[in-house]
Amino acid sequence: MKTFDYTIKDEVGIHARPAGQLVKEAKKYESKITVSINGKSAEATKLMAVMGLGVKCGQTVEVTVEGADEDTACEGIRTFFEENL
Amino acid sequence: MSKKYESLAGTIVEKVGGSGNISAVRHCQTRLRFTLRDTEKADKEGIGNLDGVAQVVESGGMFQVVIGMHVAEVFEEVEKLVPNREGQEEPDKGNGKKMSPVDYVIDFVSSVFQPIVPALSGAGMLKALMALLTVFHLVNSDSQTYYILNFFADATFAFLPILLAYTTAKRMKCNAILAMSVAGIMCHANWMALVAADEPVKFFGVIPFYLVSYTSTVIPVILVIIVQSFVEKWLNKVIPKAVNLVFVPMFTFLIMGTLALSVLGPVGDYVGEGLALVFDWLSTNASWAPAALIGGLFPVMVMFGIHHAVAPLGSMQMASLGFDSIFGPGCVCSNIAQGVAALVVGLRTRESKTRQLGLSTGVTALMGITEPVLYGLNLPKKYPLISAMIGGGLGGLYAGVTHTHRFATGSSGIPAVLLYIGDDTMSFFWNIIILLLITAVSTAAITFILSLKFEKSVEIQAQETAAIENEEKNTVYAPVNGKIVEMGDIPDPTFSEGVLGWTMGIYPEDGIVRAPFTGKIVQVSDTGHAIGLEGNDGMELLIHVGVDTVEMGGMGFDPKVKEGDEVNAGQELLVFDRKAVADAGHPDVVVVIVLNADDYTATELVAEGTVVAGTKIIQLKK
Repeated sequence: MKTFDYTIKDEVGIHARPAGQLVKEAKKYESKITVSINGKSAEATKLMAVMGLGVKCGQTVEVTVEGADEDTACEGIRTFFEENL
Repeated sequence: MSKKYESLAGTIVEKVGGSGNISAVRHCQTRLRFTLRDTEKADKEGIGNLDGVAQVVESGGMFQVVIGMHVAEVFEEVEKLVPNREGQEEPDKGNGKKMSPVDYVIDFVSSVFQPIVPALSGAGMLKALMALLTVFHLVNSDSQTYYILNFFADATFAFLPILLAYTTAKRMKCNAILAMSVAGIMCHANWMALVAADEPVKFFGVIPFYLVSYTSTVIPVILVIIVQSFVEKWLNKVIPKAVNLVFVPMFTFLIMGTLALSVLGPVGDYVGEGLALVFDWLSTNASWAPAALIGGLFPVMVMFGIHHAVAPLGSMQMASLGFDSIFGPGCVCSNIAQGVAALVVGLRTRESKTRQLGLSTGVTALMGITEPVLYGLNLPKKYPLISAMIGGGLGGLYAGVTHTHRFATGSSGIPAVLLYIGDDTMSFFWNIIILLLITAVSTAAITFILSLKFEKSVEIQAQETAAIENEEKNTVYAPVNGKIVEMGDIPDPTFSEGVLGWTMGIYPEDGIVRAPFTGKIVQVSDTGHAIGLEGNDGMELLIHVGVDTVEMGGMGFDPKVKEGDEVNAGQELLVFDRKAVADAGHPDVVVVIVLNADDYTATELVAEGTVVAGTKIIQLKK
């Protein structure tokens, strides 16, 4: 299992569009990817759940990656966050 | 930042037609968003091919350059190349399209008066409070307290020219601080002393100053600031840059102070006096006319925007006479009449949507806000509007005959009756109540009689919008009234490429979003513009109102449900203000996305053209 923390820089937080892109990215990997904040967590492949977290700019999320391809998945998702959020 | 972004920014600015073609530029998380004066000048393809640019999107009048993660750095460089446009953030209206003179005047008058309304109503309510205190003998009208309260309330009126100088300067895009200072010259106590002394005043011994007091006046200062805006521009041009910080204000004061007290002020005063004379004449020779005219014709004035030009007559009368017998009474009659007409329609109709609309907008109209009722119900149905105009006219006539007047400016709904307490008497208060009763009863009666004729066809219409019965499984019903648009035609790549799931859209005809099936609310975005639902049969659906509307931060969106709510198909989920979305520059297409379309074997759009809410639009198969 691998984890990393990321602080959202996108002004409007994780809203529909970036959430959709995140889900798309997460679906590329076999590993189970979870985004957590303030005790709530959501599977990154479930758009509604991700949007439901209501993550805002400046908040820090914890991303957990677990599964066969967790090394590449973790890198991929981390890059995605850095580039888009 | 780095040289790389600097050159990219330079090339982009050049290719969108140069900095002169950019009327505004902002950025979001991945894009530079340009508002261009002329989009023809932009080399869309050329920019798209640049290294470091992912894509160019044109939508909603915005020219968007998709940069990606380094957008902030590029934006920083672009900003340096675009001259500072402070004070003119508003993009030019249309492609050099000029407003018609009438529109210009209306726009001017409303932008000068609208911002000071809070101060006027604050001062007005203080006056109402004072009247109440004296009526109930809590404060004696010759006490110090009364005297103090009186100048608390009067300050707004006394220094009205300074407030107007600010708003006029904002509208004319000249320096507001200088404008307010010049208005201060006109209101200065020492000038008043000269006026009071009543001896001829000559500046430098040659320029005659006319002895007019400008406190509580409206037109003189507006005239002065309009001229000042040109003088200031001219001074900025002729005075060398190095010293203009000092000399532009100095010469502005000298020139404008002189012009204000010698020519412009007196001219403005004369015009103001002239208008007041017309109204004086009307109120002595045909005193019933003005209020009756406004009571009857106000809705028409609102439709053509003339009400903004008429409203200041009330303020002017208020400033010169201390009361308003025209605009206030006429307006309150008209608003109450419209509200009553809508309520009657709401009770008479059997169409559920009209009933809701009639009852809700009727109540807001009674509180003095009539735009929703006018555009939403009375105007489309016509007969309530006619009833309201007759009823409002009758009320206005009573106001005119009895000389009912208000002592303060404020909103024109039921609470406004308090504004009619003044001059240490309750008689105007009783009169306004009587005239509102006349208005309400006559409007209700006429609306009722007309509804017998016009509400016959309600049953047929009712079927169109009734709650969805016999709801089918795996089916999405239209959440709004409007025109169906296929995925590829939605003006945003995220939606048109179906990034979030199977997507379609509806260009709405009104701002009410309804539940597309029976299920549960899974998510309501903080900004209210998107709602996620899960159907009882497992379908996951996202309704996203408008493109990029997340940027509005919730303005104009009023969700009626919260996370976890159970909803029935057809139930109201969200009300949004289409005008606010349009004003923010966003397309208002309501995007419907089936998030788990992968769980189904087929997803099909089963409607086309214009649909009413509740029509079957998407059919899924397991």
